[in-house]
Amino acid sequence: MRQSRSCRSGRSRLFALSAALVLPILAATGLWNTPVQSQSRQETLIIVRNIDDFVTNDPSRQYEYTAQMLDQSSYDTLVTVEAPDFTKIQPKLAESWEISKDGLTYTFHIRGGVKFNSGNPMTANDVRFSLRRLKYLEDNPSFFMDPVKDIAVVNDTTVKITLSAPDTSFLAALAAPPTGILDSKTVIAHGGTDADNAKTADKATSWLNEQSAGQGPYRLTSFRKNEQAVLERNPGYWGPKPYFGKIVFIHVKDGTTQRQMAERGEADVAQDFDPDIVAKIPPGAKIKVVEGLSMNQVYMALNTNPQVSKELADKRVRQAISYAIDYDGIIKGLARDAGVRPPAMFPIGVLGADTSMARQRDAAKAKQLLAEAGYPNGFPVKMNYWTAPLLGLPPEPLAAKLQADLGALGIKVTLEPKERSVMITEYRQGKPQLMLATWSPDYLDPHPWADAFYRKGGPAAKRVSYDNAKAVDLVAAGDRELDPKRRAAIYKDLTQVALDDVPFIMLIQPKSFVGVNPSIKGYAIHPIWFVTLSKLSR
Amino acid sequence: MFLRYLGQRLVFAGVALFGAILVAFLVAHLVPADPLALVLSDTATKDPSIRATYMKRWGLDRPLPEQFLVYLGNVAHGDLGESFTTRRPVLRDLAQFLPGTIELSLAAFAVSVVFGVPLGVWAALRHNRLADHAARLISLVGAASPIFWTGLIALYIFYYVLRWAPGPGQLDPHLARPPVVTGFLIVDSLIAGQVPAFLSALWHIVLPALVLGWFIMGLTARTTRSALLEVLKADYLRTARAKGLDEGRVIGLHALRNALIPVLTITGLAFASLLSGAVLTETVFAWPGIGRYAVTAATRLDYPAILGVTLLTAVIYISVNFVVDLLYGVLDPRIRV
Repeated sequence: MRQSRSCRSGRSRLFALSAALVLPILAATGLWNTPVQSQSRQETLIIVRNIDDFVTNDPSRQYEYTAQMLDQSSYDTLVTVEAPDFTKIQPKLAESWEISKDGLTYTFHIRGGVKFNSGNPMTANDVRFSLRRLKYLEDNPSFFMDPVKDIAVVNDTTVKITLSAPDTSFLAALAAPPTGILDSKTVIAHGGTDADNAKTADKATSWLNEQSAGQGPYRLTSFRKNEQAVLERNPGYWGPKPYFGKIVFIHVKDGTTQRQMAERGEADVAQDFDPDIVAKIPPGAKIKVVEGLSMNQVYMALNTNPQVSKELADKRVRQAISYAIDYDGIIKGLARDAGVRPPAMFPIGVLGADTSMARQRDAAKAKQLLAEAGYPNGFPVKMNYWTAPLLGLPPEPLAAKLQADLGALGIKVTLEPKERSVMITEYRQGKPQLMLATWSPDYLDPHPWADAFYRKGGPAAKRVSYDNAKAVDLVAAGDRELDPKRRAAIYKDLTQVALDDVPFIMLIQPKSFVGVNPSIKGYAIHPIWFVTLSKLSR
Repeated sequence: MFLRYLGQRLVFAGVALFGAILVAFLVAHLVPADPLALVLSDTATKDPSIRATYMKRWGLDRPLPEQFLVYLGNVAHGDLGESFTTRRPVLRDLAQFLPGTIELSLAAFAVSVVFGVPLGVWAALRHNRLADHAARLISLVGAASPIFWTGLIALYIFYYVLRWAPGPGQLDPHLARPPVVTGFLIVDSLIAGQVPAFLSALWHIVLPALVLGWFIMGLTARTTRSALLEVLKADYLRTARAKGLDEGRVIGLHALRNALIPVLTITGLAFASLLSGAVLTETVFAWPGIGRYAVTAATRLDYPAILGVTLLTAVIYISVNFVVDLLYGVLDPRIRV
């Protein structure tokens, strides 16, 4: 009868509401679809990667992946190493240097005219401050300064570093981002110190997390944890002016989504590609895949402690296992051939690593060794691994494959995965019998690997109770030897000892893949800091 | 009268918060892992003094009961400790990530209510007919589909193939973020007058809100439907129709209003759960929020962050429940506090 007013006004209210929702959306469509190819977009580099690992931007404290890249662009080091030859030390902040005959004293001549972001000029004092602070903060990267006994300022442009024992790897250490040189005046103004008690007294880190006190080609202008980081070109940089005025890192966890963004042109670089994603790129897609060899390693640790496993304590059993593994199957099948395999825990690319020495599968020899050791019918053993990807490789298929390979010998492997924090704790306590783990480079010299894996008490050697006096001697000799040829021979000897003792079995040194917009030039994969951002252009 | 009620609720809230922190504290410490396992690098384990410094800095070298009491004391002063992962005050982390979660929750909640309630009403009014079954199917698919799958498929179809939606993230990458006033990107960009940023932020929230909203919509629609079905049997509706009221007013004014009470309870809980973070949506759409922060804290055994997130979530649930209880009074005069 009479039309209810509330009914009609209800309907018109509904209409108004939907219009209010839909119209802005339509408007935004119009605006958003406008291609933003302005000058600023050309000069901005957008990188998508998983930046979850980030903890700090303070170069003297950072020890994660993303921060290495950010800090390498904001803080220059005394020397550097670049593609294609990572064994060649090149000058950077240090124009030249001399090493005393006994290998104990390094004298660096710092280039003049370098200014920090604050405008302060860089002097030898800043070098001394930064390296001392690195040592006395006693945080993750402090071990870089372990060999240093004293740092002295000779004059404004000369620094003399004295080591407590000869250490041939020291120059390589000085190329790595943790040894970046900071603006001492600015850092001190924000609570920093290089005093002996820096580990409790230094308060500058929270400030350094969000801005740079450096002199590199870029400086950090904004950082939002887990979201975004922005680097902007440093106008007063002493070196060649980099092409990109702004570099934006956006946190995107999923590699496939990164690929989609790169193909759409929304991102220029997608850094977390793995062989599976590369294989699925449709032909004709607007994306270029850059390939490089990382110096990361996926390996298996075998505990030599008889109280953990009496079978594994016998080196013949460990050798048998190393002959039983189908290495090629793992690399070709599981890793889509995207990896190489050095013979021991020195990655291909450092001095002394020689693929021809790598052990190949020999099932008959494996059986024979096992029988000699007294286990012709095998024995039970547990294999642990953590449930997160091993440097991009899913651990489950790898563990299952190894289980099958060892099973052919009669060794009954029980797989026992655990959450990463729990697994790392147990591994560091030396509890697992067999353990799948990863290692990434500290700096590009064989010594850190030799020290970690083959010296008794080294961080990795400790976990499998590896104790061989000959290995210890070779590690020390390699560190002292100044002649590269003799040094390479020492590390080859060490590889032979490792192949005999088998405390660790090297499985894969993976290749790195990055998806890049075809317009980007100069992208070369760096094993420590992923890419030298200042070398990129469009 | 109301003040006494408020006082009671505050006391209960305090007890609940204490209980939540105690349980979180105990469970976190029960995990058989070293909290510094993911803080110290492999090579840092060479030097025992590095470990000792961290233990001392975060009070991990003191006995458990003492750690707990110290934590409670700090919380009373507004200090939630320093996160092991971000090395910043936990309060600052929460302040950074909470607004993003609130924006997404409000948007998803709006989607679920705007689509879910009418869908539920429609289904109830056409009970057991095709429309009802269709509505129930839509709700079920939304609630049952794993949200990371829905999100990735939505991104693939609407972003990659159709190019209707923008990619992951809160804002177009080459647009500058507006200065932080409230922490809410959409609001801050309006305040700063940055129209492209405002529109970009609005546009970026559409897809995650739709995906997350669809997930919750299942719940809203089904609750509305079943509540309305119950109410539709009531006698007072027959009376209203007998008095000459048209059907729209009968349903809209009388039936729906009474059906909304159970709907309010359920959707209130759903809203609270949204506010505690939607980790899968946040991960797929690179949306900064509490969900991802909480999961990272748990897997990295970041004690202060775990406790901080627990505290925050407890506060959220307590507050939402309180608001819901007050809203009961608005809907039904018989329930007045």
